[in-house]
Amino acid sequence: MLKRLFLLPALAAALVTACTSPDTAVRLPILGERDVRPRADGGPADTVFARVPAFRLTNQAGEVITNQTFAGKAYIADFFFATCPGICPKMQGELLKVYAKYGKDPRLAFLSHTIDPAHDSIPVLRDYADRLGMGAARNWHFATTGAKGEPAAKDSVFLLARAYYTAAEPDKQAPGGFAHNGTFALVDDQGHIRGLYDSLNPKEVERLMAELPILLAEMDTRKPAVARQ
Amino acid sequence: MKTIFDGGLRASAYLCSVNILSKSRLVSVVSAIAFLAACSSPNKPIAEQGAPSPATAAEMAVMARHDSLMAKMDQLYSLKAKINAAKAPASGPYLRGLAAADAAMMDWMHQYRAPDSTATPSARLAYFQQQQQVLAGVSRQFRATIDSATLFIQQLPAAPASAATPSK
Repeated sequence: MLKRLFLLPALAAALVTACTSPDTAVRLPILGERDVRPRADGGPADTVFARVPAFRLTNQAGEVITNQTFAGKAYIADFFFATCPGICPKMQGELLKVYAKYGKDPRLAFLSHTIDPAHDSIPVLRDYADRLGMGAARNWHFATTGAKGEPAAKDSVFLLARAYYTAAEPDKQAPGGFAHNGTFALVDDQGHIRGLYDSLNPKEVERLMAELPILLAEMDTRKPAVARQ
Repeated sequence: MKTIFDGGLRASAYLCSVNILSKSRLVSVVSAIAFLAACSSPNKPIAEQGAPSPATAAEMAVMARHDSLMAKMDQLYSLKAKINAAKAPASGPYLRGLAAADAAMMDWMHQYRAPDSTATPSARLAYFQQQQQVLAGVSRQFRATIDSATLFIQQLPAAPASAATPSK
C-alpha cells in the first residue's frame, strides 16, 4: 500500500511531463487510408499511411515540379482555375493570409493546381500569379498538368484532387466536388496529408494557421540539424 | 490593374462599400478579404446583411448554379474514368457526351464577364438573368449526359473495381 502511495506522485509527474512537453504534446493526425503490413520476422505489424500520389506538373515559370520538389518541406495544396468566378478568389485570398504569415518560412511551400489546363497555360498562370501579387514568389507554385497540351491533363488533375481529398474522407463526397470545394490540404515533408481546411470558413483558416506551426515543429524533430527560423 | 478578385468580391464590395482597388495590391486583397469575412460571412444570415439588390441576388444565383455544376464536374470525370476503364464497345457517344458537357461548362466560364460597378443596375440584372439561362442549358446537358453515362455503366456486364468511384 505504502509502495503504491509513493508511485502515485511519480505517475502524476510523468503524466504532466508527457502532456506538456513541447515535442510530444500535440501532433497532427495523419489522414487517409492506412495499410497494416505484417512483418516477416513476426514483430509488430508496420502501419503504412497513404501518401500523395506521384505527380509531375509545370509551374508558372515553366519549371517541372514533382513530389521531389517538396521533399523535406510541408506544403499547402489547393485547386483553382484562372477564370473561376466563384469560390476561387475567396479561396486564394485566404491562402494569401497564410502566405503573409508563413510565406518566408523555408520549410513551407504552396501549390495551387489549375483544374482548367486547356485554358490556363503557363503565361496565364504567370499572369494569375502576378495579379495575385505572387509573381516573384519562388515557393508558391501555380501549376498545370497540361503544359504541353497533354490530352488527359484534366483527367490527371481531377484524379489528383480526388487523391488529396478522398484520402481523408474516402466515403464522403464534398458538397462542392473534390476539385472545386475550396479545401486546403496540408501535406507534410513525407507526403502525408495532415489536415484539410475549408477555405471558405474563417475558423478553418484560423485552424490551419494554428496547426501549421505544430507540423513545422514536428518536422524539426526529424531534421535537428536544420537551422530554424 | 484588374485583379483576380474583381469578380469574386464584387457582390461583397457592394455590400460593404469598399473600393478594394484603391489600395496597394496585396494589402487591398487581404483587407478586402477581411472585410469580406466581416461583411458577408457565410455563417451570417442574409437577413442581417440586408436584402441584396435584384442584380446582386441574380449574380449570387448565377454563382450558386456555377458552384453546383462545378461540383458535378468530378462526376463527369469519374464516369469518364469508369467508361474508359471498362473498354466497352459503343462507349464513344457517352464519352463524347461527357466531354461536350465539360466543354459547355468551361466555355461558359471563359466567356463570363460580370459587368462592373459602373454598369446600371438594370444592365447588370439583365446580364445575370441571361447568364442564368445559359447555365440552365448547361445544367440540362449535365443532367442528361450524367444520367446516360450512369445507365450505360450500370448495364455493363462487370465494371472493373479499380475504376474511380462515381460521385454521389
